[in-house]
Amino acid sequence: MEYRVSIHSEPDATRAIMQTRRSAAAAGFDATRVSILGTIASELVRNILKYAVSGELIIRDLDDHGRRGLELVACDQGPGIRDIAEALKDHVSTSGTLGLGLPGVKRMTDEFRIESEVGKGTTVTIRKWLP
Amino acid sequence: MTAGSDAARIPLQLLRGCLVASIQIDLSDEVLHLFQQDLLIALRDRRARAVILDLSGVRILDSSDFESILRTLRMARLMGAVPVIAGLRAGIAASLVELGASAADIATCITLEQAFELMERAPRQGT
Repeated sequence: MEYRVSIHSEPDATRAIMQTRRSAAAAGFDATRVSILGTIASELVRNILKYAVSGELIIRDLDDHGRRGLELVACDQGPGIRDIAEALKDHVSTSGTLGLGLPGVKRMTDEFRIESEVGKGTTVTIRKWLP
Repeated sequence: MTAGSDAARIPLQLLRGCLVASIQIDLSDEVLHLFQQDLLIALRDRRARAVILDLSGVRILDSSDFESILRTLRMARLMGAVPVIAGLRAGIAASLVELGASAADIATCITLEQAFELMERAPRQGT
C-alpha cells in the first residue's frame, strides 16, 4: 500500500501523521514504534510547512522477502539545505531549539537518506523495519 | 474551521490548589499559543501554586510542540507556580529522548495522582 498526502497546512500535517500511524500499526509495529513513526512523520511534515511551505509525504509499506517495514518520503520544492552535514548535527546547546529535528529523526530510523539542492528542494527518505 | 480563533482550547481546572491542564486534542501551533495565553491568565486569576500538565491523552508530540510546552511551563514557574508534567506515553518519551529534547528542569511523573502527591510534599515557593 502507498498513501500520498499533500502538505499545505496544519490539518494536512495531522492527516499525514495519522495515516503514518495507521500504516505503521497495520504493518505490525508495536505501540511504541507506532508512536515513534508518528513523531518522525510530524518532524518531517513540520519541516515542510516551516521551510518549504508545501510538499508531500509518501507513506509506503515495505516487504523485503517477508521482512516488513515502513518507508516515509518527505519531499518539497523549497529553498533546499545549503549544508546538509550542518543540518544533521545536534543543536541543543545554545538556543535550546532543536533545529530541523533531523539528527533525532536519523537516530530513530534504520535507514535515512537526504537529498537536497539549493533552490530546488529537499527529499528525506526514511525506513524503519519490524524487529 | 480555518480561522485562528476557532482553534480548539485546552481546558484548565483548579483542583486542590493546582491548575490542571489535560490535553486530549491534537496539538498545533495555534492550540499551543492559545494554551500559553489561557494558562498564564488563569494562573494569575486563580492563584494556583502549581501547574499540572496531563499529557496522557497525547498521541503525537514532536520537538516543536514539546519546546512550546516547556516554554509555557517555564513562564508559569517565573510567575511562581511549580510546573509538573504527568502521563507522557512510552512512545512519546522514547521519541523525545531520540530527538534530543530535555526537560531536566521540569518535574515529571507517571500519573495525575502522583503529580498531586508531589505537589503536596513540595515546599511552597516564595514564602
